[in-house]
Amino acid sequence: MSVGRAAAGAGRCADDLRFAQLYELSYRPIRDFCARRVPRDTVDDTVADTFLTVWRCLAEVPAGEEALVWLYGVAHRVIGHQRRSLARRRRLHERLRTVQFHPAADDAVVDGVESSRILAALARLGDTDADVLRLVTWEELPVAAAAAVLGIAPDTARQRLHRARRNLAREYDRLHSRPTFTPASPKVGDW
Amino acid sequence: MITEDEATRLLKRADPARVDDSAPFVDAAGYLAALRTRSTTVTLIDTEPTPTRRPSRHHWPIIAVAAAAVVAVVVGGLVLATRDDDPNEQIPAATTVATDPDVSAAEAEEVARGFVDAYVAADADRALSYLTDDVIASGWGSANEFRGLLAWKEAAGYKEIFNDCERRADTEAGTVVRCGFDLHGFGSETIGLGPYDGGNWDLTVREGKIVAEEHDDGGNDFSDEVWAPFATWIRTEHPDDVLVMYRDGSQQSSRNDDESLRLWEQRTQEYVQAVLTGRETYAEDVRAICATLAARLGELTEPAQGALDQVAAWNTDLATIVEQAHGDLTALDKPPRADTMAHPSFYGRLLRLVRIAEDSAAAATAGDSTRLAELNAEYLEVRQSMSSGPAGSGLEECLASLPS
Repeated sequence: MSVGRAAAGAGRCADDLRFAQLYELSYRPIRDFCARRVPRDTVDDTVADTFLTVWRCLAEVPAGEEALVWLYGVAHRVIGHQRRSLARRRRLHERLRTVQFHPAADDAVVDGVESSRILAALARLGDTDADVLRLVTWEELPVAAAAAVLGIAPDTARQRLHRARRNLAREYDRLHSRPTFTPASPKVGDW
Repeated sequence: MITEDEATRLLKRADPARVDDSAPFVDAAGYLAALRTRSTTVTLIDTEPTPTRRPSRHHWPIIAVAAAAVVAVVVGGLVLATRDDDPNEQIPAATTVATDPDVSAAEAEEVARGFVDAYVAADADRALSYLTDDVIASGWGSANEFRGLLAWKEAAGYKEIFNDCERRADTEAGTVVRCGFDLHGFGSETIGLGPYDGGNWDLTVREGKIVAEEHDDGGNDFSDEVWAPFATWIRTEHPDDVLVMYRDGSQQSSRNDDESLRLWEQRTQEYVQAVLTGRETYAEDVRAICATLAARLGELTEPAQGALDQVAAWNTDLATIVEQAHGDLTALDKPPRADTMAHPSFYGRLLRLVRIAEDSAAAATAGDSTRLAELNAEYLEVRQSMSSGPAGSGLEECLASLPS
């Protein structure tokens, strides 16, 4: 075996090891992140696309605890692209369809009227505000880390979080006060 | 009334990932092997990265790199090269899957163009004639759904303005033709918004028919600036229509039965009228307040040169008068789509002038000529940056009456 191939082989081993470390650290958090934001039947694909990017950009992944925040940012962009190229396509073409797209609510997971209602309230928030609220509430990230995931300034993230919390409560009350409201039994859209 | 904390706790409990989990944990080596396979089995269209429409001004270096990588990997197509340089697994770095196209590029473009022309003209029969049964089923569900979409587009004033259709690539499935378009809807053109550009419709043509389609509205601001505000207006002004016009309370998808189409057409027209009429009425109210402001400012006596006590009094009066006008203006009921008007920016600057005048009064009282000169420069800078916006905003007299 030539020196060049040996060096390449050694490099490959180091990359595999690095990937394995990241994978073991972050697979579950990333899977949960995706499960909260995309239909159940696309979670695996979204997670795979995220780790594919990790694999291709291994040299850019920061060390330590920042790695998970970096991965959340990648997953966020993977999901954003999926939404733009597929979900918005659906909004344009399939707004007349019977299938409803509710990426964060799956009727197999949602338990109870209150949960359905709060998720419906969340769905009524603007995407940018809801993104911050999800990261802080479900991923339990500090505001600064949530800002890093979304690529925005911390002050902007704080403002959006403040607005999101206020509007979440308001939307929940609106849904709560509607006599004809039926708990959202959203069907996961078939992407 | 639920508190914000209670709502946040509810949201925490409603975490969709709490009870997920069905997916077995695969070891890292196995997962990586699967990823390698995944990256080599995807059919490539092209590898040119699609430019993002809204570059963020807040660039975190690491995230920016990740974003670029995602754009290159996901949006622009998947590069087939792997990190493995084992010669036994050589795979071209980037390729299109070369095939013998059934139609020439010009013919494919003609088919695509014919389809979009029919689509824009809402000629459902003609448009459907370009489509295979499979693409109708996968794209819209059925021919009736397709017809319903076209009917809804007409009712809601939803239109794609297509540019050229150009061949992009030849693939196993056929010739891919890209038709770019700009987007308007719900009277956005009349209101003064858009067009929303960057949309693309990739149509795969084979044997003179469209066998696949992928529609991308370009990731622009249409949803935030047009769809969402209209939905909010419906929810606020006509709450009983929400479940007639939309499939559910989220207002993410619309209905297209006869009654809903009737409402879509009616409410879209009313919405545009409400926006335009609202602006006119608002401008009249603004004009009245500005006339009062101008009259009061006209009564102020210019301070004598060097008379700091007069300068202090003049600035105090200026601050009081302008602050009163600011309060009156911001108390007006805002018309629909006030966010698209020049007024919010103007009001913000008015308030800055008030603060500068107050600080100037304090500086004059303290005899601080240096500070006074700085504040004067700041006042002029803010004043010169102010604009009354498009003609008919009502702000013209406010702007003209402010000391310059």
